[in-house]
Amino acid sequence: MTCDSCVQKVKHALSGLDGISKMDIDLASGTVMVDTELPQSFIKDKIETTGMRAVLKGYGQLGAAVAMLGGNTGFSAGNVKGVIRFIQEDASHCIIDAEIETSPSASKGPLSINIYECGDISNNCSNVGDKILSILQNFSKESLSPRNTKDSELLDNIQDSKKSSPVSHPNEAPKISTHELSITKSSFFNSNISSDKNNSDGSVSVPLIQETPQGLIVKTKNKMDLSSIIGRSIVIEDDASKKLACAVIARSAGVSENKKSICACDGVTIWEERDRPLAGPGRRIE
Amino acid sequence: MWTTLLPVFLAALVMQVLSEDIIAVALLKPYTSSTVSTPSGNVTFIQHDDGTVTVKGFVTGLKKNTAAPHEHGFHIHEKGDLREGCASLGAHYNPQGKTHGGPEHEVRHIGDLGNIEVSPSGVANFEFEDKIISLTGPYSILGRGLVIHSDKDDLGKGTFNDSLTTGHAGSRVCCGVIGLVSPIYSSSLQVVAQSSTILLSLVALKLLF
Ligand SMILES: [Cu+2]
Ligand SMILES: [Zn+2]
Repeated sequence: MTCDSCVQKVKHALSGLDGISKMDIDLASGTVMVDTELPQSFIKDKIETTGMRAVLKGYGQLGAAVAMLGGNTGFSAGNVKGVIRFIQEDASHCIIDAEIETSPSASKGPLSINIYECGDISNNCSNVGDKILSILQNFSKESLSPRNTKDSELLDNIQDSKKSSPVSHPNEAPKISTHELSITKSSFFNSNISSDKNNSDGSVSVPLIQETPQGLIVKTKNKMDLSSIIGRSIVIEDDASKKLACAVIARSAGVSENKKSICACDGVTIWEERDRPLAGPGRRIE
Repeated sequence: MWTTLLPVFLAALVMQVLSEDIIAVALLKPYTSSTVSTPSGNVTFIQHDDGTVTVKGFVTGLKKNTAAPHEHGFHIHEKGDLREGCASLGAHYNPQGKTHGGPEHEVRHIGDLGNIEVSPSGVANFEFEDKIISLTGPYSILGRGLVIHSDKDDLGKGTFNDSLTTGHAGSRVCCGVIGLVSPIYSSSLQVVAQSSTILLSLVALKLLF
């Protein structure tokens, strides 16, 4: 970002979105800081409608983690893929943001996301040990249904802005709504987790679920501490508890870290990184 | 009744955990579509009672060099973020702000594990011990990235401008996230969690920080 008009463009692209409570644009560092309930990929797409490019630099302030499921980074059965991000919001709550891709031919049955005790994802997710914590149970595209006005308004806004984004197909506006989900109690946090959506202290919020052309985006808040799940695994399962994809829960950069725009190991900038091979001779700058 | 019984029970539990080895594993893959070779393998970390960690690995598909065995830089990087493949794992794990070095050096990054030796056919089969890395405590390597580089790490002794930051070890040819294997660690947390939440946090501190 090099000029004031760019700042205005970004402001314009992001203003009018309902899920943003705070936005801070710093021209000098070229950084946009957003406090939002919306999925990060959505914010990034929105910024890129201005013609500028954006790279996610960090996520969360107290600590963040990420798990890449399926594809060539994790292991998967039935072509289920996902990126699941965790942010420690305060000492005992985590926000979990999952983008799940399912193959069009896959069964449309409900999915669940659970944390397992071991971070050994070899052997098609069969070495992950016991389930220790449930993130979300039995959610699916089919069971989506509008629930309350406040959520519906927020979601309508997502839908409207998705329509105007060049990457989406105007004739296939995704059906978006929330689905009432029960968060099952796990022995790990038996005394803390409540499946009551109107929990007075808001410890577990109503999950936000959005359908995309590729699959689903899910955002939820759970009572947990990131340090107790780092290095363990996260698994997407079908309704018969078959493990469809898994990944190790890995440390990622928080908002306050990663100020540098250069990858310290080989001098490639985060911008070039988007276009360059991740390794090999094409990557290195001499 | 519970208040007097629990501390005794807990003390016993913690002792049992600490007397066991803690094990972690990283599955290494290239995470890129454009390489000619496809290095892959796994590395196991076993932390013993005295804190020493045994690092054992078997990796195939590395650079072939029929002339002689060769070496590749081998490090723990700060993050385990595979969003952009091996590129988003961050720099060498260095929470104390030191300069780059070799595993036997006084001044080194925690993540500096030196080099692994690769056979002429591109296979690395290695085992060594390290007293600096740990699977527990504030500097735990769990959830961080493990990387094998294209070139030899000069252990900070080279004259390149990146010798003192990365050992001039070149690009990242394969990598993985260090995940916990030993289940003891978690099942004990579960047992305590059922008794009391306050105790859970105390024990978590003892075991994880
Ligand atoms: Cu490295
Ligand atoms: Zn280093």
